[in-house]
Amino acid sequence: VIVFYANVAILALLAGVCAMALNVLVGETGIFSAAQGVFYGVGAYTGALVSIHLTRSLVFGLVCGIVAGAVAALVFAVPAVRVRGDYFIVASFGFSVIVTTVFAQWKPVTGGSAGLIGIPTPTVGPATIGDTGGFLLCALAVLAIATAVLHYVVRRAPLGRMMRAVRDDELAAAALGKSPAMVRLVAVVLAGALSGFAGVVYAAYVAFVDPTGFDINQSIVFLTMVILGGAGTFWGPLAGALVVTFGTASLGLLHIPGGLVGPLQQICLGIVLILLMVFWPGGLGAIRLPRRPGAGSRSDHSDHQARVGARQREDAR
Amino acid sequence: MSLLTQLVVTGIAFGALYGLAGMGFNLIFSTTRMFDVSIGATYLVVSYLFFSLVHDLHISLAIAIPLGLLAGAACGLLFYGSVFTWIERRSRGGFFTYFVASFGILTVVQNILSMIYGSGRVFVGQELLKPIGPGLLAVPRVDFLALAVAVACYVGLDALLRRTPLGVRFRALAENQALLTIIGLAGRTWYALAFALGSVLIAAAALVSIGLQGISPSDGFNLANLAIAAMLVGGLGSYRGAMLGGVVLGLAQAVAVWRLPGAWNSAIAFGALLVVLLVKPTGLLGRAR
Repeated sequence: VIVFYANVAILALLAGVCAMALNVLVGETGIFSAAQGVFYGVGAYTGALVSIHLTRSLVFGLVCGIVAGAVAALVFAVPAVRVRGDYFIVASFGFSVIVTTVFAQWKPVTGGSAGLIGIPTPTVGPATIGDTGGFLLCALAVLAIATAVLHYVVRRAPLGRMMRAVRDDELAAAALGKSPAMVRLVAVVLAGALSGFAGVVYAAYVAFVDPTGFDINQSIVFLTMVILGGAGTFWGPLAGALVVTFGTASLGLLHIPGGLVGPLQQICLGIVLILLMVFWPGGLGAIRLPRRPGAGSRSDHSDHQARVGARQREDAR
Repeated sequence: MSLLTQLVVTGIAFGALYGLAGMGFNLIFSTTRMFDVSIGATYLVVSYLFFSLVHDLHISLAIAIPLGLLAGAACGLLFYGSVFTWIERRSRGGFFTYFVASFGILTVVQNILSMIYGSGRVFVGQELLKPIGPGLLAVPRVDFLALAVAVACYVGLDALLRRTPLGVRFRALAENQALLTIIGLAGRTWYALAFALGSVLIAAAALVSIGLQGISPSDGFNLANLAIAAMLVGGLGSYRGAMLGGVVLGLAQAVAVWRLPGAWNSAIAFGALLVVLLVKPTGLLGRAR
């Protein structure tokens, strides 16, 4: 069971990277994407192809994964950022369908729906990463790097403020000379690059990639993690990823006939979504907890309040 | 009759289906401002109910079709009356809240149905797939049926919106919801009616579609997205745009089948969506914002 949970923990941490990346779109920039699984997949396929055909070096694979994720995100973002916020999700769904089809049909490269098997174990410098502990460290490292990047971009750099400006009042942001479309584009590319980064480790760890792992359902699960944890909070999406991954994995441990596990997990997720929207539309991160005075997360909280306020004003119009 | 002409006719039939669903989505969204993906759930419930009635219980179409339409309206009212009003009372949510909650409804319904009926595709009404006649008429009947239903619904909805007091109220809500709320002309009753009527359109789409392509649980989300995609291609807020957009998507799919393996057709339809967004972000008939 400990090994089982160590496995789950690796997947949960990687999902956490994707959820935090997706939060840049959902929470900070205010656009809803159902394509995050695709960039995870692009990273995973890139990592798999690099390690099969070129080199087992994980660092090289990670760089390729970042580039591939960013390029895929750019291809998606150029048409998609032109559409009004609410409908972005439809464009992202469309993109997800297109890329999943490419994964499943481009047989010479992606192996078609059978996927790619026999991905060799990766190396970092002289060391080979073979066991669960090694991958756990790897996943933690990836998470740490992604967190550092996100913390810098979202909380420190001007870009983060521009994203929130576009989220809260697109017109005002545009009036100040910031192109909302350009800010969204950068946000999508950043999120895509980080997911691609996580995807490489996924491919190396599971040693197998196939199209079903990165389809629309996976994207929706990422979206659920962000919403559950609290869109627009910094650590919320990571918490959401841990809760969702461990929760669904534990459901799999119960003695339920195999064919029913998937639908049951989905039904639970659906019910969680409905109840969340009714009771805590801001996610778990928005529930008021007693806070230590001077804690760094205060700014998150006021951010969130601003966001809720902006939404309500939007409704009133 | 050449393969291409046949494909074009089928493409238009599918396009009519997407347009029909797009009109249903638009009626709900423009009137209530609730981004409702649970139309996919309505679509699934109606389709599977119809399948059970006709296939398992051998009930005649004359009874099953009205029952299907009623079930659609009932689903719309149920979803609105339970989850949507619940959210309205508690938090006055925005786009995000309604989208996520309706997505939750869709997920739950889709998976319950897939546990009951299995995740495969089921068919009913095979006789509809027979061609009408030889030569030029070698087109499945159901294609004409789809087109006829879509045109009838469009004409009916247009007349309703233009000529009846209810239609005027809907158009006024679409134009300026805030004003109508202030002067007390907006209310839950009207929203409920919009949900019911929009869901009947979705139900009509479901009944047509089960003849065209059968039904599988994953169709619900797909249809909701194609309906919204049809609106995006045609131009937001326009019923004519929804029909036109639907036909564009349907034709794109048909042409894809002509040259590529069948698995590509959804990808090509959404590819067409992205191309339209790139060229004209407001949609083909869209007004500049």
